[in-house]
Amino acid sequence: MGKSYRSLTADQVKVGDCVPELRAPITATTVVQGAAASRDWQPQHHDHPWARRVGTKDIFLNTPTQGGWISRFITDWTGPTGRIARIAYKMRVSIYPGDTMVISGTVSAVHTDRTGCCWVDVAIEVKAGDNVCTIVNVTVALPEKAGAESPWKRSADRWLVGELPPFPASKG
Amino acid sequence: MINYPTKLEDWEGFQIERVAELKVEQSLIDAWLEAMRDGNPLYWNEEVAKEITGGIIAPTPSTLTYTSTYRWSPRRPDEIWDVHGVEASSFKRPLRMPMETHFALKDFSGLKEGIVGGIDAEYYEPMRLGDRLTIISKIVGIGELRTNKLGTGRNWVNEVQYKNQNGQLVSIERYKFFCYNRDA
Repeated sequence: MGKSYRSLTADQVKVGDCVPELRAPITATTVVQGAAASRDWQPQHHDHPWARRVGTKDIFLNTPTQGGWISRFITDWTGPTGRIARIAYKMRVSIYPGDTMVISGTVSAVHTDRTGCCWVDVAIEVKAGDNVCTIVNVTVALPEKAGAESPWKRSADRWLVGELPPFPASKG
Repeated sequence: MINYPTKLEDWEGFQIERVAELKVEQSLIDAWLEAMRDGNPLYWNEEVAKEITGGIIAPTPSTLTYTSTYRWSPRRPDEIWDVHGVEASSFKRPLRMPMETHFALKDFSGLKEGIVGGIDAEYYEPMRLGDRLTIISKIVGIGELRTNKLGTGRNWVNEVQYKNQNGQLVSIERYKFFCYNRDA
């Protein structure tokens, strides 16, 4: 069976490229479903009266759920051959039921390490209305070009996440 | 039996290691995909996953799903993770993995509220169906007492390492907390 999936390669990417925006309406169900899927039963992610009591206006998306949406945002763009290496989050404002979450991102760096692994940094904003709720930096590895080695084929000695340079300075 | 530190300075570097109660399973992955509407075939399509990753893997940021302690389990029926504080006192508390060290330090320091200001996560060996992760949860970087608009409290980082049953590093997550009491 022939290949039936998208496979973005590093030679197709340059600094400044925009990742296609992802929008999702957030409901109480979205929040609770994400909390349940991540098995995070801290009350502020499912218990409205509790959330009000501790000073937030409603239940809100937990971080693993945001991570899941961001992971999807990246691999919707790269296809399954994109291998996420690191994610750094800075949380500023919570995301509540009634918000429309908008995830956007720009390529901030493209580099190749000493083993030939091609890395792409993406600077991401997660917004609700005018609020920048979360600032995220992601590094994803891509095949160098069509037909090149998939980053998923790299064993630990050639998967040098610990040697990656710091993320480019962001607004966060 | 865990010997928790009795002095604040001894919490720096304090760690707990435990094997997760859950395994990486397809139904848990499917619930994650449902919540994030994620169609990446590596997580559900055996044919594509076999070609690219040698088999189905779990979504990269979903470690908590397979490592969070059951609130209650028939394997330890006298324990309940009681986040609302409403259960009978006869129940014991399980280790609240993967961040028992954070919760225990919060209890020790008497700081009732906590927020995550940021997380840095690195990903190594992918999680595969059937994996049972080992969790190494450690406190690092305890800050001085300080006051901000939320209240008075301290920063600290709960570093969590996950390894698979083959001893391979799966991921490292560093949760940056500010724990505090609201000022009267």
